[in-house]
Amino acid sequence: MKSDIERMPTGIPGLDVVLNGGLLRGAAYIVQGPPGAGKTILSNQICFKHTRNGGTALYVSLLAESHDHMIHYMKQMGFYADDSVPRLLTYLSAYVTLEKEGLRGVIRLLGQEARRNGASLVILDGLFVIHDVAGSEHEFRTFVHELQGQAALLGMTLVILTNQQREPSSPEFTMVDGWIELRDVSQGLRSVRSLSVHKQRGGNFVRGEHLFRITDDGIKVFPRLEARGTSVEDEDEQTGRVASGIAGLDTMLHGGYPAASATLVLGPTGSGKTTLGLQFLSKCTSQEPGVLLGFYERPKRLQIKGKSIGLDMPGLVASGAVTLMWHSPAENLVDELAYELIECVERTGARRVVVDGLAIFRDSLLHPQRLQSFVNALNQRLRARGVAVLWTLESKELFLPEELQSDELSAVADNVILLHYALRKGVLRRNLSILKIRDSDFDPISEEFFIDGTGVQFGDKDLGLLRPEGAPADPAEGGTHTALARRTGKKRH
Amino acid sequence: MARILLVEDEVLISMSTSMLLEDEGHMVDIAYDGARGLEIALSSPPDLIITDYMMPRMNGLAMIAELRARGQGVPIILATSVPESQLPETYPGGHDLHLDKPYRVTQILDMISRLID
Repeated sequence: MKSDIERMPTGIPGLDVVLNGGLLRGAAYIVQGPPGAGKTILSNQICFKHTRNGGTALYVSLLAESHDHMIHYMKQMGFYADDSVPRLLTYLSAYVTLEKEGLRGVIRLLGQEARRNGASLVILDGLFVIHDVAGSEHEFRTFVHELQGQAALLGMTLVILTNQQREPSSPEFTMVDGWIELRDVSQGLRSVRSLSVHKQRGGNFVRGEHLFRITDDGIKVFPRLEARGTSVEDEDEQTGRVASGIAGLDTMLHGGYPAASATLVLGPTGSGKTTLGLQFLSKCTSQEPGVLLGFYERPKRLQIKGKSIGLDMPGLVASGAVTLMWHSPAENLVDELAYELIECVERTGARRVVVDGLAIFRDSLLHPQRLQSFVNALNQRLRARGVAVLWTLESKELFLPEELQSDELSAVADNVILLHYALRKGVLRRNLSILKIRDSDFDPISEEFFIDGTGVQFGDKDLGLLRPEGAPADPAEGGTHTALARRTGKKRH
Repeated sequence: MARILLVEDEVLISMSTSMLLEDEGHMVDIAYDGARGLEIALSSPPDLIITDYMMPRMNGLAMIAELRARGQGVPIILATSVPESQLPETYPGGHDLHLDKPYRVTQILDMISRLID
């Protein structure tokens, strides 16, 4: 009969997801990484979480460095709790014991102190010191083996820290139950931190590299979004249409964007991408709210932009109908952005999302080949919550190219709308073309539009609107098809 | 000049502190855990003890309590990163001064002079 191994949550946001619930109780782990990679913070954070849960922990250092300095720095972190030390968490140095009594002495000390303190979690900092002191690989292997034996006998979870970069086939990695590696990854001038779980016996975990940050509250891990996946049951079965907020566009779309779908609005600078996004959000209410995640235009600037097309953005924000999220476009972690967005959607119950700047996600990726699978995963997450999402992406082409080349991102969007310029009688005109709509009809034409004080209007600004102003767009609402639709109303299957 | 017993499990701290105290003309004995500290303090009582709290085998508070229980009135400085307010309620007391770690030279010298000069 299958029995679940008991887990010990690390309390580190994201890490327990990667570890499928936490560390295995009574197991021995190695946390490996170069100096400055975050091993000390990670292990201390786990200790404090353990003590908050009523456990007792022991932090034993084999290093000559003072752990009083370490404690001094840990006191600056949000997870540090004065009342835990040393009542529930004791810091000891085993350096002298190692010098005087050798490897056996350290093992004996660990066992004695773990029993004396009633510790169910022990951190041993500085395995590389043991490697230096051990006379042979055999002696080192014996030490790790005996250490593991002590941990198992006492039923304590053991976390061994080392900064040594050794072959994956080295005995310590083979012998322990789990192996977590912390890395500092450089890309040009930029450096990011990453974590990989290489091994965890008897338990599933999310494989591969996950980015993490060290904040004032400690470590936050962002499990690779696409590695987690969503189940078939998660998919929202919503049908129907979601109004775009632009009457003429709804007509072209035959009622609006498909519900719970992802739309990519592709267009050059100034073509109206953000305007399309804002008008999409103008349909939000406090019952069916929306979120805008922006990078270039700050909330204040967006409110001014909204006002210029007749939208009461401050009112929408104040009523809770719209939440504006803003991030600097520089040096983002894509998974962090995605989790923040998903959290906001869950918190607000948003049904519409605008991400104004897909390029930020593309440019922030350390591994560009992730882009499609990442966006796809995020779309799936949002769709599963019944959200219709609109992504904007700036294109280089100002004009409609003679041969349309499918952007690599078109594949991850259910719907693709292309904005572009056209030069007519020496004047630049904006045009909108629908390239793709999920499982649906649409008007496959390129239509000229302009933006005035009420937003996007189809037609020639000089000659007038194609669709009479104020005519309802959605035939279901009792309206009629617009002039544009009547003119082009062929169905495409 | 005084005979000082330094009870400290961290080599870096015990080495640097003992050198500093020797430079000031004191004689320093070092013990790396509370059990050894107690042994030395009982066998050849020092003029002053500086002790850490968290140590292997016997912690600093247990050592102090044992010394006081045996009638040892030697002045004691408790040097620890645990704030005085966080010392266990069960600890009967017994140290003369509390020194926050990490400490500075001037602090420790000032405390020594307050206790033995």
